[in-house]
Amino acid sequence: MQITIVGAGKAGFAVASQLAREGHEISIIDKNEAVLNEALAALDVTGLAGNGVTRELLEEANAGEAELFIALTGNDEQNLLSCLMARKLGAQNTIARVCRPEYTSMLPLVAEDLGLSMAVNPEKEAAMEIVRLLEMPSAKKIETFVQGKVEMIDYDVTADSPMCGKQVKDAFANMRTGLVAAVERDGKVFIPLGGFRFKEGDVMTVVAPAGKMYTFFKEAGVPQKVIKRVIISGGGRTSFYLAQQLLKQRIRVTIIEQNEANALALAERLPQADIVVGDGTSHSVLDEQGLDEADAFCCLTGIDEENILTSLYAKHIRRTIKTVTKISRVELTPIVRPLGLGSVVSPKLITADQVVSYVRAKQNGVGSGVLTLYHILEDKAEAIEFEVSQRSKLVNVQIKDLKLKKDVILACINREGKILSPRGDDALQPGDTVIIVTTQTGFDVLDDILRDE
Amino acid sequence: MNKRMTAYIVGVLLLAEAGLMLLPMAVALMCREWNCVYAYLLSSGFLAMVSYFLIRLRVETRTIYSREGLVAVALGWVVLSAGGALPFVFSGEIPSFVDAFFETVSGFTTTGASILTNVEALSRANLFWRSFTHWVGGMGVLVFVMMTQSLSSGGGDIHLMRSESTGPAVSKLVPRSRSTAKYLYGIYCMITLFEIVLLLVAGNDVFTALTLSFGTAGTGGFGILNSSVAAYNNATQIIITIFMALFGVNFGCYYLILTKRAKEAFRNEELRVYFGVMLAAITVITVNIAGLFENVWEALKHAAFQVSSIMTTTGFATADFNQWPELSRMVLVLVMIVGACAGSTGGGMKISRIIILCKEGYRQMKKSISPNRVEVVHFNGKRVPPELVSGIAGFLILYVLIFLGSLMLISLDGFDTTSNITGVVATLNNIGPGLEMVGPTGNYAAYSGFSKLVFIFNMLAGRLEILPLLAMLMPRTWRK
Repeated sequence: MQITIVGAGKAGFAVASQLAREGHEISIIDKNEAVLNEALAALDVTGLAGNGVTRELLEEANAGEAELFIALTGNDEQNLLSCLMARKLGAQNTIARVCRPEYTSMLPLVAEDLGLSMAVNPEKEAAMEIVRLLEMPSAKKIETFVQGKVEMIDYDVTADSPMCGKQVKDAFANMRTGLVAAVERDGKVFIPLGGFRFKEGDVMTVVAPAGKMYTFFKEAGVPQKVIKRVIISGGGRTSFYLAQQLLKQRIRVTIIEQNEANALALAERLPQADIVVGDGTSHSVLDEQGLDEADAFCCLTGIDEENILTSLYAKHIRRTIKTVTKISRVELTPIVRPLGLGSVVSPKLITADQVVSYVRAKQNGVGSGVLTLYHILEDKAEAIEFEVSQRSKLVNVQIKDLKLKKDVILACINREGKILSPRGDDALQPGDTVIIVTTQTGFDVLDDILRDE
Repeated sequence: MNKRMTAYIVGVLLLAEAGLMLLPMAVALMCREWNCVYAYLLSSGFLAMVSYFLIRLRVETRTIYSREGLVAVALGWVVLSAGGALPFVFSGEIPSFVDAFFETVSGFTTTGASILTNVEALSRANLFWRSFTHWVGGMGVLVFVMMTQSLSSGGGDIHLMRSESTGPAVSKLVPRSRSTAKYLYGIYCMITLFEIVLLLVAGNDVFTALTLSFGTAGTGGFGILNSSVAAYNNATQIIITIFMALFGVNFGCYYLILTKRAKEAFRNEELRVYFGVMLAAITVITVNIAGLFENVWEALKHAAFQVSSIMTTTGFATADFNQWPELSRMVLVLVMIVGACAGSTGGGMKISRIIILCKEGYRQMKKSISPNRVEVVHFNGKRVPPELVSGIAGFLILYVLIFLGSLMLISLDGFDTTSNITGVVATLNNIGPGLEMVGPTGNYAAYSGFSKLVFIFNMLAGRLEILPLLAMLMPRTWRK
């Protein structure tokens, strides 16, 4: 697909790198030549320096022939204008990043006139992901598939976990709410079979229908804490969206914000929340606000390093606290991994995922049997959605009788919109779609997952 | 530095070369030159074996940066030329390795300078291979390999493309390196094929049509006759004149024409200046040499052929321009240095560099009389970033230094100044023939082995536009 991206910042870069890797033809437009050159050196894309709103530049970039035009600069108005221009020049679909809360209500009214296919709001999406993480405190990371119908979470196996030291078939005997699709141990990803034995330090990846995850963990015997009190450090847009959502669920929220004017504005719009003016990195402010009694602590300031340090401090004060750390600079992710930080959220990556899944959905039905392909567990594994055709050798055979290749697992079945967690006595039917999780690559049709006879 | 990855890329190059050698081998089989069949089989097998070991190296990370791109290309071209010299040695037709190496470097860098005193003595297979190296070297071997596979992870291929392609600011035609490589070679093959057909129609045999087309396409200049192109009929000479000029055009322009943006292509500043300079040079020389020929048309034909050949840095000749009046000789030496367009298969400084340098010089002049004046250099209607201007100025400095240094070194042999100067100009700009001793009827055979090595360095520096070669030779590139 021919795609034009305006803005080579963090979000633009993340989107471009994912899409370029999937074989799309990407052109990037950015005002800042230095930033652009960095992107050009790292990715197989072309670039053009200049203002992505002007007609001259968009024409030079051939934006009119783009099947998708994405505006991801930090300026909402500019993004909307860019998209409008691109539409007028002939771009088929446009996506704009619009992040000011004031504009959320405006979008549905004008989206059609602007010809906008989708608006992405990294801060809001990040807030929604944090909400999901707080609903499932034991999850380290949550991803959704199949238009949000399937959830996948990462869970740290600790010495206290009920499955620790047990085999998969014993730990999750007779459970139909979800399944363990992968286990990461010492940086390597395994696809566990029934006989796989869990160890402390494993990261287990569970796939379950949306909404069933809670039940899955309850049945597995993992104590589920209910979050009742959340402290948020930093009063930016993410914090606003998050607080708004949490307050709806009657969770007590305290926001610590340094800037008095910002704090006042928040207080005006979130009357039920406790807004405190103070330094969110100061231990006395945190202690005063009751960090030792809070269930969750979200560090969402604009400075990654501050977020990392305060999260670590919070873990130190209260070992059981759920922390969520916002990290904007994706480069930091590998550096913080050994720190045991708990959940990490990067708004830019979430935006990238959103755009990428939009592109994949657009491509559906083209060519091979793969409906969608997700890179998961930091690219160490793939989740692939296949359509089950009439002729497939897998149809009407009980799953326990299928001779699957090593390192492949059938993670879930989508039967007429209903998501099932497959068990040995289930069988696939034509018209189903299935998600398989695998550490191998190169599956083009569903029957490829069968062992060669 | 990622040495394993660099070695891997060199290995892939050698494998490509081993494959390409099967073509001259087929020619040898068809012409029943059994000695050459054996030479090419042996060379190809040897290269395949070496590349097997390089490709099998365990490469931990496939990421490459600017440094690896420069070194891989420079090293790749040296190794490639050394490998390409093997069949000449094995077949016994150019027994000295330095001579064979010179000939192959001259081939791959599309120079066309030869150490052979009697070209016609070579076997068909070797003549074919000599001309074919022009064709391969013209567009680049790595770009050729890039069509089939991506060599590095991420966007690393652009570093290779930048080092191997010509011009000050190499950019891709389309977002993906692989598609860009395909377009470039697609256009290249199409125009070459067109020329082959026309040459066949003009009454040449298949072998002549092929070798002449390879020599034109790569802007190389190896002929298969001692008299270069002079012995062919008028139609052939005119076809070659036109196609030489066409291969000196930025391939980006052809891409624009292909994608129905011909207007943009013809508005291209470099293209206009290129044809402008060419026409001016042809006019001056035609007037200057009119007296030497029976009529003006004959003079025009020879002037056009020589200018087109020299300016695109091809190096074919239909007349011994060494015997021409001094003004014409000087004009030819000047267009040698100017060269063809960036992004073409031609060599030289490149029109775009000359344009930007002239504009920058003019800007500096204006600035000296009104120091507070603010002005930017424009090229093709766009601002040229200052780093690019200083990059080109730096290129010029290195170019001059290499020119002077080489001149000094080859003067050890004691030949006359004109031969020496034009010899260095003709190799550094990938033309081939110079004046006097190295003129169109002469060759480089008389120079010592050491001087030949200097010329080899010049040819490689010219084709790769200096920086890759210097980057490879700098110790700090290799330091940990």
